[in-house]
Amino acid sequence: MGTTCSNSPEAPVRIGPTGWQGRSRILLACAGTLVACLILLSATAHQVSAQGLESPITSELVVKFGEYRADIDSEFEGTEGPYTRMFGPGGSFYVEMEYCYYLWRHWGALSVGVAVGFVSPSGYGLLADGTNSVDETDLNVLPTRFNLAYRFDVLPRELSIPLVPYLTVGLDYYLWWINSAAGIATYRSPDSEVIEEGRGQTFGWHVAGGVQFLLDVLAPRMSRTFDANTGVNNSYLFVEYLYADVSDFGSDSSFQLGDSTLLFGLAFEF
Amino acid sequence: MSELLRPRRTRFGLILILGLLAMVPLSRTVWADQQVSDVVSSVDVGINIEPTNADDTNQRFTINLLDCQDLVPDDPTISFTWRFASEPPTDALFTIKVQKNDETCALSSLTTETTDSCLTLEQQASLTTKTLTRQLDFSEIFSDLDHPDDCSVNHGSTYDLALVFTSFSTSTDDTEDDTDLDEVRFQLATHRPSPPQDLTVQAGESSIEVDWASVTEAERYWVYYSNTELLAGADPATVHANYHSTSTPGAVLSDNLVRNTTYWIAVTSEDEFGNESLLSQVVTTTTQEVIDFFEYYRQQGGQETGGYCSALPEAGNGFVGLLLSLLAALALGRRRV
Repeated sequence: MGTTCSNSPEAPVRIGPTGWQGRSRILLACAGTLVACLILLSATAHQVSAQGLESPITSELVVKFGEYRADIDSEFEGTEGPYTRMFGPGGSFYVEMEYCYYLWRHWGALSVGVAVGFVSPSGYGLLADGTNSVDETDLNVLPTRFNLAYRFDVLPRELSIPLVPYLTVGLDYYLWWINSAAGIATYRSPDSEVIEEGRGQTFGWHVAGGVQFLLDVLAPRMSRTFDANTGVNNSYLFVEYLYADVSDFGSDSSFQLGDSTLLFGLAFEF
Repeated sequence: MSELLRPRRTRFGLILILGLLAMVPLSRTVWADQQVSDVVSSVDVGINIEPTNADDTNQRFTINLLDCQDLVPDDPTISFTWRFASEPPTDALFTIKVQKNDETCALSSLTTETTDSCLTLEQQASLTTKTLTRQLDFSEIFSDLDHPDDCSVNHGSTYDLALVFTSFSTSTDDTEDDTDLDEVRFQLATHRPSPPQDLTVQAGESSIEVDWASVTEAERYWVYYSNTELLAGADPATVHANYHSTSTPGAVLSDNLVRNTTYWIAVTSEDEFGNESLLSQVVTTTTQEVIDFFEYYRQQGGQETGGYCSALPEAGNGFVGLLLSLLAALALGRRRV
């Protein structure tokens, strides 16, 4: 593991863009809203499920947003690691797109999928005296995930409850690169005089679970038209908890790029 | 039922016809105002300065300090072309006068007059065609500008080039006068705005942040930076330096900067006429090494060394195999559909 981070400068910290705050409050608010909607809309859901013909469902396209903060500082002891010093204590805006293909769909649905995301925390470099420079530095991360997912979509189909719990596990491949004002960051090792480049790849795994809310119950007629025109059978709003461990499976010489975070988004079945 | 409706239809049709008839003379009147009362339908001035108004027949040109200082020594020929809406009568005459600063020139008279502020360039010549072209030297119009330094002295002065000609308009308002007139106005806007003050800089490794106080009359700012000395109050036209422009105070310089180099930095303001102030106070700063995230991470003892050679433990090969299996499953699944 890394060494102690004990000499953090005490100069005012100017940090890059920070992310959202109060995850738990958002989660509670969403959960409350979903429960209320569940009661009010169960009747409508029954009508939707009882409708006639619809196009076959083979795939799902998902767009996710959230706050992501790579756990790089876990390599260091102390309160403020290099990630916090440069990019601040908050997370950064994360976006991800995922495509899933249904392998089996009977009592729930089993799918495989691939997802690509992006996050880019940004901050300011440090001068020799420890104060912030005007030069920006950022860490760009391009996660790619390979998922195996199970969606329990029996609730809306059989019980007229517009909720779909799901669970996902998978393997991750993260590409990352660090920019300084002059381009890709470099570091000259004092021991070996080797110039290291601040870019690379890191492997890992993840597990995620969430609940999707079937939006079709809000506008059944529109959803049928949407299906007829575009082939999108169902639309969902969802919240997901993601735990990712991305450190080359525990390697001591790799970034820990994983995080545990809440993601929100829209999913479309077609 | 139809009997009751007939009178209404008739009345509606009558109103419609009367309305259409009323519109005909109205549109003719508008055309007459534009085309006949001014007589001159357009004027082309062969000078490389855009007019400040869109009116073809009463053009206004503003000459800023830089243009004035170029024009005075060059003394270029300026071409004027007046186009009339109709053919002039055979006895039509014209006179060209230059009037400075709205001084009283007898602009309703074709006769010659010459004072300090009213010059006659051409007098009672025959106007024979619909298009009249004249080539006039810059110094004929701007007779009191002998040296580039005169430009700033005469800031705000106006020079009206007036074409006075025998009236041949058919419109009622013009028949009362014996002459008609077209003017082209040149105005000198040759005052430099104030240079910005309270200049501050902060240098990084390959960028420098510059800030300054806003200048009221400024529409644009220019930041000059050089690794050789700049002098406060210098004319920016004589400065050899890199520059950067911005419409609001504050800029980050990032082009052509070298690490560990001292730079001299100054700012100018530019007003709406394109006049640029002299250089502001000059400040110096030296670019210095900046520690980026990767350097800081490594200095703090982080073990990630970058590169694409996998840092996977022994499980690496198995992992790649698993990835390939997943991709294969995905592809097979699609083929079955």
